[in-house]
This record gives sequence, structure tokens and C-alpha cells, in this order.
Amino acid sequence: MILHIVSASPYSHDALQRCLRLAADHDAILLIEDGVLALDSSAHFLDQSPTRHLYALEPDLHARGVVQADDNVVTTVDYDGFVELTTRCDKTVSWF
Amino acid sequence: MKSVLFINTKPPYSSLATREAIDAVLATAAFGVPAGLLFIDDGVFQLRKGQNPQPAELKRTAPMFEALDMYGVEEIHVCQASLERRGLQPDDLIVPVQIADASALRALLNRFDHLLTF
Repeated sequence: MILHIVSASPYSHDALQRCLRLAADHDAILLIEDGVLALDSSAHFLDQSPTRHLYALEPDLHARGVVQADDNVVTTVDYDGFVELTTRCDKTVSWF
Repeated sequence: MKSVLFINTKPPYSSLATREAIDAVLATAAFGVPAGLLFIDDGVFQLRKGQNPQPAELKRTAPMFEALDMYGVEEIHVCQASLERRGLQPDDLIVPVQIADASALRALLNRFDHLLTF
């Protein structure tokens, strides 16, 4: 399992699209920094990846005041959870 | 020894990404570590023929890719969809490349031990 870390805004960069194209169905995706903006309830960037494990870094969500949709399938993690994710996956790749 | 795939996503000249990637690839290859390159999205522009950055007072990066062969770096992969979207053919590129479709791209990410994005 590969951990895909997306740190760029989906509005101004194609990093998230690149990630969604290359991630396998069983891979994990972690949104950090401006990457968490994809989770705003008014954003519709993640509709196409329902089967993948989706995570977001909680401090970055809070910092940006992101308001998520009620039916969001994302799991939030803190910094320890971030580290734990990297150890659980075979390798990581960053998209920005 | 663990292998490294260098993933190039940015066009040349607008940032230091191209040069930093080349430095990292050459350093990796110099230590005998198996290295491969992948060009995707605007990264494919790094390989386009006919670049003449001198009028903009920039240095050509293309010759470095032509030299990769001498460093034992033989795997240069290019995303097929990225090329097509930009109206480019393999013949438009400065070096021979392996064209990768979506499943080949995923296989690449799985095969290499480390993935470095530029």
C-alpha cells in the first residue's frame, strides 16, 4: 500500500488530480496543508475516489476553518497519526 | 540496493524543480543506486525538442537528460495522457522514452522502492 500525500490546493494546482489518477484502489491518500481544501463541503474534488482510504491532517483542517460535508468519508489524524500512517504503508509519495 | 523513481511534474525554467531533480538523479546514479525517471503533466515539457532558453538568459537543461545514459540511467518513462493532452508525440522529445498508460504508471509506483516528486 502506497501513502499518497497531497499538500497543494485543488483550486490552483493539479496535484490532487495527478494523485487520483495514479493511486491504486487500495492505496491511502492523506491531505495536508492546502490539500485539505478539497474537503470543503462546497468543493467537489473527491467524488471519484470512494473506495480508497482517505485521511486528512486535523490541525491543517482547523487552521483553514474547513467545513466538511456531513457524509464525508475522511478519517482525520493528528501528527502522531500521520507518523503511524507512514509506518503502516510500504512507501510514501508526495504530490504538490 | 533500493531503487528510486524521480517523478517530474513541473515545466522547465519557471522554478528550480528541473535542476534539483537532475542533481538528485545524478547523485543517486553516481552511487550506483538504480534510478528511473517519470515525466507527467507539465513535466513532459522538460523533454521537448527545440528549447532555446538563452534569449531569456536561462541555462538549457535538456543536455543533462541526454547525458543520463552515460550515468547508467536507462529508464525514462513518460505519461501517455500528459503527452496527448499537450499535443506531443514521442518524436517531439529529446531522448527515447517508454510511454506509460494509467496501469503502467501504477505499476511503476509499485516497482520502485522510493518515490521522489519534483
